[in-house]
Amino acid sequence: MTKEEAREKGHVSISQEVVTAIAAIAASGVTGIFHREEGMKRYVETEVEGENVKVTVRATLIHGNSLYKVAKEIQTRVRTEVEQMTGLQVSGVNVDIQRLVTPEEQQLSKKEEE
Amino acid sequence: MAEKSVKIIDEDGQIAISEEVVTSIARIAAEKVDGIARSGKTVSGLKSFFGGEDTASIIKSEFSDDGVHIELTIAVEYGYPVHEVAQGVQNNVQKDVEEMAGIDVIGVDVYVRKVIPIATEKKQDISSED
Repeated sequence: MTKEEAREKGHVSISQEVVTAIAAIAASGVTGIFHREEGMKRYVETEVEGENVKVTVRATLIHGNSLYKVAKEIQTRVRTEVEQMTGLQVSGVNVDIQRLVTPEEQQLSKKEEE
Repeated sequence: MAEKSVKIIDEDGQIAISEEVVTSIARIAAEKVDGIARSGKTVSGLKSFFGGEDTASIIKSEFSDDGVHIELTIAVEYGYPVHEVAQGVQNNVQKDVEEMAGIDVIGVDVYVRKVIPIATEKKQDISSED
């Protein structure tokens, strides 16, 4: 349980898993990132302290894009979506760019999934 | 967190780019140069076994305070001017790393280790396609 709000109607709590899932789906929607929704969850960590969340995304990016631009886009999207969908404050989004794949490798992995 | 990385920190958080990522950019940039012997592509990786000869480029990236220094050991296909291939590699690697990673390239050292006959390269290409 990461977020609990005592309200007149009762408690609202959002589990860390939910925060992580939202962050993962937000990140995977960015063009230039390799993993798609479900697969992305493994590469996202969230730390929740009170009303604040810190998100770390360990990203594999697709070759051909400016890494910095893609990373910035991940930061912006994750922050916006987590804040809108949970009401928590995102104190920071760290993007660790760990690996690159070529567009051909991405095509291959898509085929394997099908 | 033993791996070295370049970090950019601002109010949004931190962006880190690892040496491995810079090495990947360098590898892809080098393979775009005409005349360089391509390794068993990163996907299959097996071609060098069939050929009995490893034509894969060996690439090292090292970060320092001023940027990154990259070292490539490559093989060149027979028939291409070796010095031009090497210069092409230097230019491509510097351009791609600076554009994609936004990291200053202090130097690109290219060691040409081997010359590969073109014919065997092509044969291997075909056999690995099917």
